[in-house]
Amino acid sequence: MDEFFARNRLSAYIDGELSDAEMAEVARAIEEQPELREAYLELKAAVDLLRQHGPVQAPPDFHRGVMRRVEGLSRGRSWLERLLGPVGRYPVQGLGVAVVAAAVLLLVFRGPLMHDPTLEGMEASGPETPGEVDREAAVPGPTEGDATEKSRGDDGGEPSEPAQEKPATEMQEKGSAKAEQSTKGVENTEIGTRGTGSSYKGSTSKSGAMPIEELLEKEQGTYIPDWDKESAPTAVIEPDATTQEPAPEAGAGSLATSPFAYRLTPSEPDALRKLVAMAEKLGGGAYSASGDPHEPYILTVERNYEKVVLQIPASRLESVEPYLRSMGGVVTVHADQDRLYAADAVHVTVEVQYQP
Amino acid sequence: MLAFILAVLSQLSDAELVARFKDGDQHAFSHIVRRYQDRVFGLCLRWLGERTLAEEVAQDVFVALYRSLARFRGESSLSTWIYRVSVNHCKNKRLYSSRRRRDRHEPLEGKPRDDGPARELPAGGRGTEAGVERTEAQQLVHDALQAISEEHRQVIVLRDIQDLDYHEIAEILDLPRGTVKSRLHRARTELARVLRNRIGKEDVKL
Repeated sequence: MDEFFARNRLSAYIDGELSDAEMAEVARAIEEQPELREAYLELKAAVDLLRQHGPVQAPPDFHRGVMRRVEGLSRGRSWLERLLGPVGRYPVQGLGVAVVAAAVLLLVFRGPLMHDPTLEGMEASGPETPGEVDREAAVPGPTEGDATEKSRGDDGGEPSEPAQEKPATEMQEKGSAKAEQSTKGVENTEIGTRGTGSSYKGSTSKSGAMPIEELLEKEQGTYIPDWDKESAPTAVIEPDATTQEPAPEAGAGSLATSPFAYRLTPSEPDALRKLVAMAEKLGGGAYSASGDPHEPYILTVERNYEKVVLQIPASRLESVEPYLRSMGGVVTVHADQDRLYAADAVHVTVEVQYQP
Repeated sequence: MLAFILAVLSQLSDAELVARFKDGDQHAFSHIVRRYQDRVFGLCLRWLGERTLAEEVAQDVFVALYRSLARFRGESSLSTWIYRVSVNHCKNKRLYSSRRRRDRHEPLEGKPRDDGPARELPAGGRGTEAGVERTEAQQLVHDALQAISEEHRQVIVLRDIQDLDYHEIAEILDLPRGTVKSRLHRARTELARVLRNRIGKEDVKL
């Protein structure tokens, strides 16, 4: 065996990863060739050093730290999830929660659905109106699977039917914060309930944009997160500041530096909310260029520009562009399918220029 | 009672622990953490090179695991799956860190040499990883690993420190087995060169 051939097999030889015949040949070459023997000994010494001194122990309080955080998550589970118990941890969780919540909502909001005139005044002013509750649920956050926040929404109730029936523009004309929050409720139901993909029942949105569930099903065959390869669930964005992946910093959202950047010229005033909803549906989040969680607003002629940085799990990246295109007017500034794609989560910068 | 539970759990296989967790047994998850904490923390520390960061990322790995374990179908081993989660977290953290550095600071003097002679580090300072690298050899391993490329560090950490076989490494890094083999050879060669520069050829042979 010549030296070059044997040299390239030294590492595998050390690991015993060669065939018996090759092992014998390399062993003989090492014995016969002094330079090869020297290379082998050096490599072997490095490997021995690593094996002997490489392993470390976790800090003494590591286990306690993990369990504390995990217990925090448990405490954050809703009464409904606790009630469901172990069942709630299975993939049917979303469906189960949605079905029960829908049943409760049907009972609670039966009045408004029937346009009971005695309830009309209360809907607008009472602190427990669905619109009020939904304000909390509709606040966008960068957390995926934020059980606490989601379940608050589930527990608290969905937007009331009367609010859903009001078009976004009508709400905007009223100019009140209440109207704006109710509009958020409209968009939530239009795009789909956050976090629970199974709850979506509509087929097309009023604005004509493809609903995210349909898009995902079309693109990926199923809306359930992709566990086909038991792949790493690291796209999970943690619920609290200590566990959350760092938000993109100011400047990180520059179209020139972002690995994935798009210019979007939507004609719909609620495009920002749809972007945020899409990011959350894909298991990510949305941030402003300053790195703070993005607070979507209704685009107007005066306030017609925004830059949003979407944090998208790499495995879901391919769903982004089709959805953006369904919103209309997309220009791909830069799409680096190279090394960054192998990363767990990728930042996608979207420059939104509203063109009514 | 707790000791009894721990004794019982320690006898269980990974698959049995996962099954118990799915049935609502929190102790099972606690035991999974105990079983894998050294490996996960060790991987993060050797990969990222900084104790505080490694601890944070390793904790994140287990939190992510807790959230997702119910959906684990057991098509790969729990060990492989945990390593995949860990590797992805480390990659992610590296990505963010490098982006931050790139965005914040561009050194005027250019990129420093990473495999030059060992520098004198202040005793007990952050750079020495005081309290972690207790021996000179451990410190040497730490420094040498940080001096080689990340791509090479990945395979070395998984093979020589975590003691995984080629097949597992290929699965975790999503690479062909042949690529793992050739990359590992290049990585070890690079590491041996760094060690030679740092401590001298004769010492390494010891």
